[in-house]
Formats: sequence, structure tokens, C-alpha cells
Amino acid sequence: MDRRSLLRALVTVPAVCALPGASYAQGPEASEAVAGGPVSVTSLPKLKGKLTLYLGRGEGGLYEKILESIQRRNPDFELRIRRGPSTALANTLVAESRFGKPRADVFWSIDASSLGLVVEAVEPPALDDELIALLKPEYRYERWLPISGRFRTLAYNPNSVNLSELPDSIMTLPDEDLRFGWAPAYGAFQSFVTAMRLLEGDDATGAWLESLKARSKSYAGELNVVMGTSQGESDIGFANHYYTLRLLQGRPDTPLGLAFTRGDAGCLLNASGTVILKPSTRARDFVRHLMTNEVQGYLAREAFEVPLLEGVPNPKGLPPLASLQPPRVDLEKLADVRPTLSLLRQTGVL
Amino acid sequence: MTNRRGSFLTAFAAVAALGLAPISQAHGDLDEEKLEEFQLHLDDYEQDVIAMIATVADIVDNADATKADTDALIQQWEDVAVHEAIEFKATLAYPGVWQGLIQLQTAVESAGDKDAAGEALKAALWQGMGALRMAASMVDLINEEISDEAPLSGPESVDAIISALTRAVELYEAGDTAAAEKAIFDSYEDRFEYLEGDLIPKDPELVTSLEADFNATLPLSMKAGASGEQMREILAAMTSKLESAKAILEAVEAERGTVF
Repeated sequence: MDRRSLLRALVTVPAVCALPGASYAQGPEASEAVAGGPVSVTSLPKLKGKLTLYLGRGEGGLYEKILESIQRRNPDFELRIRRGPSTALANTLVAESRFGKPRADVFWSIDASSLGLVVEAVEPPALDDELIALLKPEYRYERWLPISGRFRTLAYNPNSVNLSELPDSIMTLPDEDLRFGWAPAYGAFQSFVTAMRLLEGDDATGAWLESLKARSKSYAGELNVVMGTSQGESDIGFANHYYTLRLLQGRPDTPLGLAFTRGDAGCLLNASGTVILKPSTRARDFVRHLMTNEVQGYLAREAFEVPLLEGVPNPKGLPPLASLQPPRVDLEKLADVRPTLSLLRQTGVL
Repeated sequence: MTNRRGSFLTAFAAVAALGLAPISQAHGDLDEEKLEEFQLHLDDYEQDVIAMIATVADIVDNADATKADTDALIQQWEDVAVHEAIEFKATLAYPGVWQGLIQLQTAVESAGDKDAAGEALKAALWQGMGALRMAASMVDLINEEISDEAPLSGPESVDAIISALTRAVELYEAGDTAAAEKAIFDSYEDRFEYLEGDLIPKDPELVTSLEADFNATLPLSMKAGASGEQMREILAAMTSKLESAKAILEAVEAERGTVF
């Protein structure tokens, strides 16, 4: 196995980070330096009046808990919520716009691709600079606002893989004598392959899939991928970061670690976010509630989601965001998975 | 309804040489009420399309067909209600119908390939109908009421899943396997997937076992033609696992921290 420099983020809980020259204590309260500090909900004006929110369902009902809390805190504020799968709601928003009957003030979705679909079709007004400036510079978009993120990772089994021997490039993984686990039918995997196509091109992505296929075990979902890795069925599992962190939360002794490639699809950061479809002070202040220290911390603690605001700590078990190097991908373009599905079928992966 | 043919044919002739589809302008008397609720009249429109396709078939099969026959076909197109529905509600499909009509007329007049022209026209008509159906589904979507209904908690979601799966097995026993499979898929996609986050730290094996039940055991047993009794046994085993999941979720929700 080639030895290359890499970002080595060993995650075993409790543990310390294996970043060169750095260690960090686990836990949102300590994992990242605060630069300027996030806004607290106590500094926001009270919400009043009615607002229609289209809510793409989020993890474990946590988004609902946040909305309940916002309503409790703002008794004169009435939220009307339409719930559904993100893509379905995005299609509804596009239809409403096309028929001249827009109803939603704000769309909050768990994935950037459905937000991208709406932004492209509906062309909402540009966000104001002050709102965008709350985000770290690399996560700023003109017409939608990322709320929290999730990383693609390499889950590895430390009993079979030496972290220091892993490459820092996803594209050189086929050179390694390793066994892999993946879930090709899973949306997150397809977004990852879509990002690879956008960054490396179809030919290179097809070759990558071809070369890994014979050494990869397919699973129905990414939890199975990560569990398979921990049980020695594979050395490396391709999965979003939170599966590993959740497993380790319940079973800290599970032989699992997280590794990150650098600047490529292997460490893609996808995001949940909002689109303000009908600009108003109320809609803006509502979205600002989602960007408070309290909400961001809650999402990091309860769902291991990655805050994208300056100064909000990362979830327990994840290296500091500044030490990771996700690629710059137009997340909105992840919506079109058709060429990806075609490639997965052509290569016999799906 | 007044005749829109003249203006359309003029426009068509003007752009045909450029190989472009003409942009149509309607000048006829419209049944605006019907058009406004076009999504309620899809069956009528389909009958219009079927009738037109029968006329097209007659022309193609008739070796002695003349321009008078294609003129009559164009008049039929002028008169049917599906015309204005496609024109105003599925606009992108509209030029294709006119192009198909003109191609068929040209083939009849110049002893060209009537079969090919007829097939192209039939395809254009069905495409128009398909585009109408799609537009109608969008109207249904945007007219749907925004619910003020409170969302289900995790444990309540489990109850909803058990009800949906029970219904799925009933549907299967009644012979509607497609509806049964859809109910299983929806309960997984719309409910169970959002519970996984809380369940994984507590019992990941339970999660993977239930995932296998949702995605393999239940639907594959249906595909394999399992008996009703076998399906009820599978359901009972799955319900037992779901009850375990519910107990976990109740504990998780009791321990959950506050946002503010």
C-alpha cells in the first residue's frame, strides 16, 4: 500500500484526534475554536404573524423539535407547515411557481440537491449580505442558505487497516490492496458518485467504479456498510460520517475509525438548507433562528450534523471543520443523478 | 369554436422552412370553464385522442385517401376539446400535433410515406395527452391543502408503520400486490428512515434487521407468492421488532435535550 500524506481523523469515542500536531477533546463544547461567536436566540427579535414553511423531513423528527421550540418561544408566531420528502416538495414548489400560485415563504430541506432544483426553477431573490455573512466563506451561496452539513467519509476498521497507510485521494484507492463496502442504491452514495463525475469526469469515475467493483461488497444501506466494516467484512466502507459516529456513540469499543480524503468527492460536504421564496422580515428572522448557536448546537449534539457557521463547534467525534478539506462542488448540481445511475448500471455496480 | 387553422397554418408555413416549431396563437372561442378545470376532464380528452387516432388509421389504411380526408381530420382536431387543453395546458406538446397533421396531409397529397406520418401523428397526440396528465398531477399537487396537523412523534410513527404494514398484508391477500408493495415502501421511506438516527446508537442490529424486512423479506415474499398465513407470520415477527423500536424511541424522547 502506498504511503501518502493524508488527513487522518481517527475517531474512536472517547479518543483524541490523530491530526498531525493537534489533538482535540471530544464534544461540541470543545472541539473548535470560536471565532467571533454565533448569534444567540436571545438577541433575535420576537417572531410575529404567519409563515408558511415547506419542510423536507429531517432526521428523527429533530427539525420538528426545533420548530416546536421556535413556536413556543414566539407565541404570536403561527407556522403553517407542509411536510413531505424533499424532492417531492421541491417539485411542488416548482409546480406552484409555474402555475403562478406560490404559497411557501420558506423551504427547509435536508439536501442541497432539492434546494438546487428550486433555486434553478423558481429563481428566488438573492439573499442579503448580512445573512450570507453568518456562514463560513466556503459555504456561501447567493440564493440559498446552508444550515448544516454531512461529510462523505471512509469508515475503516483499525484492526485491518493502518490509518497512516490510507491515501488522501479517493481516486487512488483502487491502487490499494483493500476490500470495500458500499451501498450503490443509496441516495448518499449516488450523490457521492455524482460529485466524483462533476470533479473528475465520467470516464475517470467509470474507471474508478470498475476497478473497485470486484473488491466491493454491496449493502442495502450505509449503516450496513459501516457495520460490515466494523465486523471485518470490508476494510473500508463508503458512508456518511454520522453512521460511524452514531454506532460509536452507542458502542464506543466498536473497531471503527473515520478517515477523510482531501479536496475530492471522498470528503464531499453535502448540506441541508433553506430557500427564502417570499422575502420578508419575518421569513428572514425565522431563518436566523435556524442559524443561532442554540439550534446549530442542538443539530450537532442530537444528529451529528456539521454546523457551517463561524464559531459553532463540530459534533462530538468529528475533527475541526477547518482541518478538513471538502471539494468545492456546486451542490445544486447534485440534483441530476440520472447520468450517475446510468454510469452505475453501465459498470454493473447497480 | 372559430377556426384557428388558418392562422396556425400560416405560421407553420412561415417557420417550416427554418425547421422550427411554430408558436401557436389561439383565436378560437374557448370553453374557459372546462379549461380551468382541465384536470377533471382527462377521460374526455383521452376519448378525443382515441377518436382522432381512429381517423388517422382510416386515412393511413385507405389507399384512396385524399386531401378532403385530411382536411376533415384537421377539422376534427379543431373541434375536439383536447385541442385547447393541449394548447393551453401542455403547450410544449402542441406544435408536435400540428406538425404531425401537416406531415400526414403532405404524405396523402404527394403519395409519401403515410404509415410513417400516421405513426408520428399518433405519437404526438399521445405525447400531448401524457403532457396533459402530468400538468393535471401538478394542479392536484398545488391545490392540496397545507395541513396544520401535528407531526407524529417517533413512537407514534412506529404505530403508523405497523398500521400501514397490516394494511399492506390485507391488500396483498385481496390480490392488490402493487398497492401492498407501495404501502411497504412508503412506510419505510416516509417513516422508518427518519427514526434510524435515534435507534442506531441503541440497537443497530435491530435497525439492519428491520431494513432487511422492509426492503427484502416482506416485498420478496409477496413477489414469491407467499400465502396469507405466511405473510401474517412475517408481519407478526416484524411487529415484534417494531414494538422494540418503539420502546427505544420512547426512552430517547424522554431523555432528549431542549433546543433553547
